[in-house]
Amino acid sequence: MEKELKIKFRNILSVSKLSEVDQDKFLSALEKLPRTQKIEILMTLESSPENIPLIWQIALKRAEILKNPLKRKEKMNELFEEESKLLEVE
Amino acid sequence: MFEKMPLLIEKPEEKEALEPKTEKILLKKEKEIITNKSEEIKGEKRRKFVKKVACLLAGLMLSSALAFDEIKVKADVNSLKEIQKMEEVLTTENEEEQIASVKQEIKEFNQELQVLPEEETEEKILYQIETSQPSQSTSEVLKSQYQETGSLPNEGMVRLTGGGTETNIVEGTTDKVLSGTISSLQKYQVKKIEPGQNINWLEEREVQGYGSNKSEAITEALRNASYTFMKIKGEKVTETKGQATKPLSTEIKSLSYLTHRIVESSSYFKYKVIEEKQEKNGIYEVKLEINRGKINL
Repeated sequence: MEKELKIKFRNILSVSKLSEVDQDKFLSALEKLPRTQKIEILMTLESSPENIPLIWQIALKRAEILKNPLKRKEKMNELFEEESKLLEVE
Repeated sequence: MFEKMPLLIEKPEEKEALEPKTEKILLKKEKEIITNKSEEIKGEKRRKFVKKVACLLAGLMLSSALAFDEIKVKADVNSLKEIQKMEEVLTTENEEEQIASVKQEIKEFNQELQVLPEEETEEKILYQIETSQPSQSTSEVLKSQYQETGSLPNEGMVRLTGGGTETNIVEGTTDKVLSGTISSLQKYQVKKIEPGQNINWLEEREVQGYGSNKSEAITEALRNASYTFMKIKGEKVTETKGQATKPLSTEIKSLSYLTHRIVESSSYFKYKVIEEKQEKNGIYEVKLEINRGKINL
């Protein structure tokens, strides 16, 4: 990832409530995405920093289901609940 | 005992068979969640909701990156474009809100112009024209203005006020009217420019590549734009995985979702599609009006 982009991600993640381990995992995952998507995610995080922990939870839960399709039944409801929670508007 | 044996053996193909199905089920359910929530939300809350849909999409993209290798991630991100399309629909569903938002953008754009230092404003504004007569055509006024002054600066902007037969830009005009005006101005200027003369406000970019490469090339071109008007030419965008082809203009429109958020966070970069056409040889041409400024990423 380009240095400047990485710094921007580091900065925004450091003010989130994510642990340092999760921040590193977040950055490693980003490396796999095309640049356009990296920028989209950066814009989203910058405009909604308060949602970073929830975004990360959704990413982890969904990844688990994608990696282990056999476990999906037990995990899916949990995931959809998180996703629904994220979309709540006050 | 022998009758029960098959139950103890896991079918080897079961995991492979479930995997793609799981992705589809997930995406379908997520679309359902968005749709159901979307129906409940109106007005000002809707803007916040669209922002949250973007958060959900960010989570989905990250989940692919966490779960798959690099090649699979690209394929999965392509399927997530469905959610992106929903975001666009949510943003543009309410016509009145959209018109209000465009009017607000134009207002802000004009305010930005007004706060420019005076000498800089003089350089950048090509013409400030009042079309007070109801029957007066804006493009005709532009042409006669050119004839009076005899020359056009290499760069600048056209700001129109008043109400002619072509609705004025300040109060909000339709794309058709604006593109008509710009188009006739361009045609007029093209006749006048000298070979090799650099016209900064009318640059042409050829964008090549397929699928996300082309999207990235367009995004890159827009992001680095430092001129007022830009013309992008390119062949039909062919999506990978045998999906339907789509014209360049659609590709740019789908990118407006991304650009819109760049506008929100930086407030010094925006563009508007002012004209799009398909040429006979299958090449698409899209003209964009760009608010000057570089995004610093």
